[in-house]
This record gives sequence, structure tokens and C-alpha cells, in this order.
Amino acid sequence: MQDLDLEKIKVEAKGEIENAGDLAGLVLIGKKYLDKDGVLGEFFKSLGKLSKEERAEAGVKANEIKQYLAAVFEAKSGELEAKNIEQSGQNFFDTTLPGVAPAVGHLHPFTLIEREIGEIFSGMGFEIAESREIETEWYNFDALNVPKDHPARDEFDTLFMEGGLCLRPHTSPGQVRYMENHQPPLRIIVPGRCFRRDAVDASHMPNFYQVEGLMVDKGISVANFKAVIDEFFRRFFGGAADSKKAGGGGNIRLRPSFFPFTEPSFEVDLRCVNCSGSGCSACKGTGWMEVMGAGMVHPAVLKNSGVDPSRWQGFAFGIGMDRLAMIKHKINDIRLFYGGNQRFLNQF
Amino acid sequence: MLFSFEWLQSFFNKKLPESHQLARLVLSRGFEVEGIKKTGKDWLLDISILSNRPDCLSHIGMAREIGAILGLKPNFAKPKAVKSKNQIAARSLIAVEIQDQKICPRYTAMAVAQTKVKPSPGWMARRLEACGLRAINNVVDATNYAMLETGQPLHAFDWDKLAQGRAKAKKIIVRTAEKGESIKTLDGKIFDLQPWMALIADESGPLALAGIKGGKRAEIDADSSTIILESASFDARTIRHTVRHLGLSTDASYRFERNIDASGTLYAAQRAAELIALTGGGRVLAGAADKYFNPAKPKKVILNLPVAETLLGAPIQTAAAKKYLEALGFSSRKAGRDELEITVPPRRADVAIAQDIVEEIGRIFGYEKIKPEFPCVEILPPGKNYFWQQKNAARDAIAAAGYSETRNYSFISAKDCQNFNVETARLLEITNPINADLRFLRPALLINLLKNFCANREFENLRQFEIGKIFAKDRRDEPTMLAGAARNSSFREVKGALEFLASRLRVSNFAIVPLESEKDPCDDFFDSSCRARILAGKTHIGALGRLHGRIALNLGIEPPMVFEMDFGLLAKNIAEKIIYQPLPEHPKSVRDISVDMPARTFSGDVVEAARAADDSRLIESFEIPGEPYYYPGNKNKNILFRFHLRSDEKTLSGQEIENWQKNAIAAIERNPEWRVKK
Ligand SMILES: [Zn+2]
Repeated sequence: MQDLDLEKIKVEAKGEIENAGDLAGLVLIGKKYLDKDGVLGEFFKSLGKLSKEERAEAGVKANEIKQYLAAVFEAKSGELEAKNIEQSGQNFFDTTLPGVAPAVGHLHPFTLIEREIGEIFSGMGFEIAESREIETEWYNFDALNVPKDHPARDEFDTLFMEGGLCLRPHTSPGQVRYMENHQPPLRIIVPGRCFRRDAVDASHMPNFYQVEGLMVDKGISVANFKAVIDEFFRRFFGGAADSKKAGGGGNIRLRPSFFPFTEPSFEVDLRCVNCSGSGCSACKGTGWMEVMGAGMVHPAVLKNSGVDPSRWQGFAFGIGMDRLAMIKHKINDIRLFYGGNQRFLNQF
Repeated sequence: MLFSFEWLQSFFNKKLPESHQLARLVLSRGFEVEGIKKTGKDWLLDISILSNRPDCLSHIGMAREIGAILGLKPNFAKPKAVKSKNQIAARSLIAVEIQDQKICPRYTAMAVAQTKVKPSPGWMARRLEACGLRAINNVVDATNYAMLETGQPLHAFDWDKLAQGRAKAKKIIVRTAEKGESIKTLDGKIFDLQPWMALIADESGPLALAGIKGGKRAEIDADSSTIILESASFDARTIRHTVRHLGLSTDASYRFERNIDASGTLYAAQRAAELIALTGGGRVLAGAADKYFNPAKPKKVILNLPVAETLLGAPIQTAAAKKYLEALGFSSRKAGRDELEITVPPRRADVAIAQDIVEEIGRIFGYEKIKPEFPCVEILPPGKNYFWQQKNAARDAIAAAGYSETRNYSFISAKDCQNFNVETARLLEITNPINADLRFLRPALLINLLKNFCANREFENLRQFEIGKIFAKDRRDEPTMLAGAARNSSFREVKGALEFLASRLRVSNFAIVPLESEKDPCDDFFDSSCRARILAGKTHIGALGRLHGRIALNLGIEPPMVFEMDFGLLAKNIAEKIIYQPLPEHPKSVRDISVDMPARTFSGDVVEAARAADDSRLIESFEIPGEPYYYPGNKNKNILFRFHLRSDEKTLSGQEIENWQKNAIAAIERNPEWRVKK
């Protein structure tokens, strides 16, 4: 055995182990080389015939090879075992099974929109204020300079109750109630539910939401209103509206209108977010969508709210939130917002 | 109102832009154009006139606007003057008596004699019909035509049918109705009149409902030949109340309700008279019987140009401003440094203050020319709205617990009240509801929320909630409620969801407790065998339980678990800050105690007994991992309690835990009906 070439054993054994096709074959190979009676065992036994020095040297080398082959054997045996388990199906997992959804509910689209509107205006320093849904005629009309016994009052299609009370047809009474308790400078939005004597159809509801806005300070102008509102729409509709420049004014246009509580008054049109103004069915071919009424706060409203109109001026606006939500999500029927259709809610 | 393009064009020498372009200009500078359509060779523009601009309910008014917008001067021809020489004066035929000048500040009557009533010529009939008025005969059509042109409603009477009094001139009397009086209008309808309604009468009785509709008695017919033309101004409020009271609205009342300028009556009457003579022949009698009380002095408004510039946020050239105003009929003169004194034409009742003038300048200048500019103000962050944030936090928490948010109607019907056994007497009621389904305001959110459960049948585990306001006669504070419902859910699940909500909102004194007595306040929406009160501290803020079987039956659904609470009261108990509690330093031990007890025992009472005996305060928490087990016969049950024990001071020894358990068992078994299973 002295002639035995250890290197040769190493190469042969490694080759055989690595080529083993199954565990049983591998065990036999292991026995052949690594057992006491195996090739290496025989080699160790043969060492007795050598001199002390030779024995030590050959022993060290043989041990190294034994350890090396044992490691190769272990690796191969692990590999074959894993293959075995895989083939038996024990360790198979079907990752294409559908996921199990957590039982979490959905927020109403109006909540998401209210938050978004609140966030944009908060960022521009507007405080969120809320106001009553049932109003007196004073807050709803008189304080807002809506003339008594005038068709302008009828235009609000107000729902009335006994005792001179009504359901607010707009969020503007919130302006008066806020200014009664806060002197300018002030910036608020007042989101909330409003009510009108409208029969239900795809675009009308007896209850709906508005977001009132009010900014009163020194020398606030139409130009300021245009910048703030344009920026709001730019943020709210993201890239959909013309977003060349902050406050550039490209997203909106003002048309003359009449509201008793503002002077001058405007109707604000938004550049169609669907066609960017070239004209489509969503904007009836005009390129514009009517989204809010606005204007410069009428001095009488300031006075009725306890604010000195000779010192302060400002703008006010009322956004139809239902309409914004419909435009944003391309919803064609306002009724979907009311009545809790779960399939609808699941989309938000 | 419908405007004829051709008619508008007739006031200008220069050609107007084609109709669609004109419509766009009108839209951007004045009024909303609702539509354009072709009729014959003409185009019709449907323009929505703002309620403060009755002066534009006429072709002349609109032509004036268009002139100002385009910088063109329109020509409004004066009706041909009637030479009074050798002519019978109108006053010899007609006299006007106004009994109440408040309801009628001006009444102008003119007369046309020896005319013939016949169909109108084609050009006149076509224009009327294009603008939506039916052609009747040349006399009635002339009054309507003059109205569409000038904005002033007119009426024609047959002079021969008026009562003859002692004087030669017949008398037109403007007065309020007498008690019990009624009138038969042109269309043959009879209206009973109220004593405050304004009437046109002669000495024998009513002739017309002032400013609204003519009466049958002095109607123009084929034989009429002497025509009296009425062109008057009536009190807008009286007209409006009468219109509402009688449910009778006309083109005339529509204009009078918006306050027609009294200074224009004579012009309109002259125009109508001219048209009658032109189409039916005869002579326009000279002059008019014209009663005019206190003609208003022209209003003057001081416009400070720098102030106007800060309101618009754009530079205003004085010359340009003057030009716009003049085109609209305002005159101006320099009143001081940077100030103009503006004289407002009488037809513009809507203009009273400087801001009104700024609007006129701004809109004709063009709002699109105002360059947007962010305000320069302090960049203070806005104040916090706590309640807003709390509502949003609640929405997030309850949604995380599996409930989807809904927004439901604020209205309920009488049938809903029946279904939910709600007394309508305590509800706020709409006095002018759209229909019976929208008659009352909701006194609870659950009523409409549960209707969603009828609709969403395919969702086996439907869970929905709403945060919103409720209303009742005794709840003028408009409480904000939080309500929810869960299909295929257990009481423990809903209770767990609400406890989760409370902990998320940092309400530490939130509790769900059994009713103490039958009289305990708790809604009768709930099944009496499965309901509980919700408390925040000692305040009762709501209830939860299984929907009452009868209500479920009415709705046709399996009774879900439901809850409703006053969110405002809950929010009052929200801790503003999170205060950190030191983490435990010693390990926890767990001990199970299994107790047999009568079926009607509250598990909470057993826990209370164990807590009472826990002198060294080792109980950190407890749970009931399974469901109670009911022994055959359902008289007794077994509950497994799992106590989590921990000391703040040390690691508990086996002996200490042993002692705790002994004490707890002894305390529980002090109740002779409770047995701890060993
Ligand atoms: Zn479009």
C-alpha cells in the first residue's frame, strides 16, 4: 500500500461521490472509501509498516483527505436528501394560491377627497372649520346679504322647517359664524353637508357636500384668488389639469356671475381634466367644467359678521365636492355616493 | 331668455361677430349662454340672465351689454313722436288713480284709436315665436314685442269695455283687492284674491292682476278699436307674494319680481303704441296719463381707483374704466385725486357701492387679463381642528376593524319611522319636502345605514359604518353620531371592534356594560336579550346589540349586530397625548381557572370576584380564550378564565403564584353557585 497514491484516491473518491445518483449508491461509495474497512481504512492500517517519520507525514496527509472527502460526502448527501423530499411532494408549496385579504374596511371616497382638499388648503395656511347643518334665516340669508323677498332667495331651493329654520343650502353661513368669533387675518375652509330641494337623479341629490373657502386679510384681490384656486386645482388633479406653473392660472377661468354675498362674483370653470381643454363629452365640447362659485366678500357680509370692511377684504368660494369627486374618479352617477353599495365602496 | 341674433344686430350699424363667437364673448363678460340654435335665417341665443339684472331681460339691454363688450355703440331709435297739435290727448279718454303708491310707484297709460285688430305681420310673429311667445293678434303681440325689446311688461285693454263713470275720461284704478273679490283671467281661470294683492280695476271691478295677468273683462277681441296701453311699475314683493300665493307666474311677473326700472315705462308704451298703429292702423293719441310718484334721484357712487385696483389686483387705466362705464350707461366725473363720481343709470338697481362698479369694470376689462398672484401674508400654520382630526382617526380605526364607510341620506320617510318604531312627533319635519320619502330628518344613523343591508345581500359578512349628524326637536345641538352594523358577526366581535376603536382613539374610560334595569336608557332598536350600554366614564354615549327581530323582519333581513353612539361625547374623553408607561421588568405567568356557574351569570362578575381578592395586584390582564360551554339542559355553563399575572417588583415564585390562585379560587367559590373545576 505504500505505493498507493493518496492524490489518486482523493480524485477518484470525489468523482464517485459527486456522480452518485441516489442516496443508496452514495452510502455504498461512502463505505468503499471512508469506512474502517474501506480504502482509506486500509491505508491507515498499512501505515504500521512505515518508519515513525514516514508514518506521521502520511497520517497527516491521509487525515486531511479523509476530512475533505467526508465534507464532500455530506454535501452530496444533503443535496440528494433535498431532492428526495422535493420529489416526494412533502416540501412543495403552491405559491400561486390567491392571497387572503385582511378584513379591513374601505373609507368613503368623500372622506378621501375631504382629506385631500383639507391637506392642500392646510398647506396654504387655511384652517378647517365646520358649521351647523340646520341654520336660521339670519345666517343662511340675511347676514349673507341675500335680499328678502327676492328671486335670488329662491335660487337656493332651500328646505325649510318650522320656526324659521332651514337646512343650509350652502356652506356660506359658516363664513359668518366663523368671523363672529375670529377677527382677520383669517383663512378657512368649511367642508360640510348641504341640502337642496332637488329631486334625485344622476346629477342631483337633496343632500350633497360643499367646501366653503374664505380668506380675509389686507388688500386681498381677485389676482390672489386666481393664484390660490389655480394652485388648488393643480394639486388636486395632479398632471391632469394644466400644470405648467404654480399659480399660473392656466387651470381656471372666471366668468361674471351674481351671488349676493360676493362683489364682484364669479363662476369658476376648470379646464377639462379629461381633454385638457380641447373639448370632449365630459365638458360638452366646451373644454371647461363648471366647478364653483366665488367672489370678493361683500362688505355687508363682513359688517354683519363683525369685521370692519374698511380695513379688511377677501375672497370666498364654494366648491361642489360631489362634482369634484365625480370628475376625479370619472363617476357618472351621483347616487352611488349615497346608499352604501359595497361593490362601489370596495374600489376606494 | 331667448334672444334673436338678427334683432340684436338690428341695433348696430357694424356687423356683430357670428353667433357662436358672440356667445363666447357674452359668456366671458356677462351671462351664461345655455345654448345656440338656428331658426330660419336667424340664430337664437338662450342666455341665462342673472336675477339682479332685470335690465337685460330685453334685447335693448343685451345689445347695450354687447356694445360695451365689443366697444360698439348701439342705436336705440326713439319711437316716433306723436304731434300733439290738433290731436285728442290720451288724457281725454283715460285717467289714472293710484290708491297705494307703495304697490305702484308709476302707471303710464297711452291710447290708440281707430285701429284694427288682426293677425300680426310675419316679421313680428316670427320674432315673437322664435323667442318663445305665441302670436295672438297685432295688439297683444305689440305689447309682447315691446316687452322683449325694452324689458317693460305691458298690457292692453279694450277701452270700450271699461266702465264709464261720471267724468268723460274712463278711470283706471290701481288698488289692493277687496275682501271676497275674485278675478277671471284671460285664460278663463278664476282666482280668489287676498286683500293685499294688487289689482288694476275700473269703477266696476277688477280688470287685471297687476303685473301678472290680464282679466277677461276688458280683453282685446276682434272688434276692439280703441286700445288703452298700460306700462307700469309694481312693487316686486307684492308681485312675488301674489305669484307664490296663486301659483301663477308669467313673463310679466318674472320681470316685475326682479324689480323693473320705473323710469322706462313711457318709452315702452310709446314703442307699443307705435307698433299697434304700424300694424293695425289708427292714431296714437297724444301724451299719456302718467302717474309717477317720487322718481328716484340717480344714485351716485364714489370710486377710488387705487382701492379698485387692490380689489382686482390689476392696474386700471382711468380712461379705460370710464369708457367701459359709459358704454354701460354710467356717467362719471372726476371727484378728487384718484376718485371718480359715478352716476348710476336708474335701470341698474343692482349697483349701489364701489365694489359693484369694480365688478362692471373688471368684467368688461376681462377677468382673464388679471394676472394670478399669491397673497403676501404671514406664513402661520393653520389652527388645528381637533374634532375633524378625531372623526378621521375614528374612521381609520373602525375601517381597520373591517367596517366600510358609507354616507347616507339625512332624510327618512314615515314608513321608515314605522319600520323602526320611531315616533314622528319628536322628529324635525321639512315643511316643503320634495316628496314623502324625504319628509323627516333622521333621528339615528342606523335607520338609513340598515337599508344598505337590504341592498348588499351578496356580501355575507357586510360591515358598514357612518359618521354623521342626527336631528330631533329636542336635539338642536346636532349631535355627531357613529353607527355601524355587521352581518354574520357576534356580540364579542362588535364589542372587540369598539374597544379597539376606543383604544386607538385613546379613550381610557370606555366601557361596555350590561343594562342595570329595564328602565336603563338603551335604544329599542335592539333585541332585549342581546344589548348593552356604551359608557365613556359615567356618561351613557350609546348602545350595541343585535337588531330587534321585529325591525329586521320589517326590513326583510337577518338581524345584524348594530351599534350607535354619540361621537361628540366619545371625543370629549380622548386623551390628547400618549403618555409612555414603563415597560415591565419581570416575566409574566399565566394561570387558567375553569368555573362552572349558572347560565345567567355574567363572566365579568366572576372576574370581579377574582380581582377583589387580588391584594398584591398581580392580575395584569385576563382573557376568555374559548366560548362558554353549556351543559346539557342549558341551566349551567363552564367558562375557562386565563389570568396573566405579573409583579412590578420581582419575578413571581411558584409559591406566590400558588397562593394567588388559592385566594382567587376561594373568592370565586364564596359564591355558592360558582364551582371551580380542579
Ligand atoms: Zn373635455
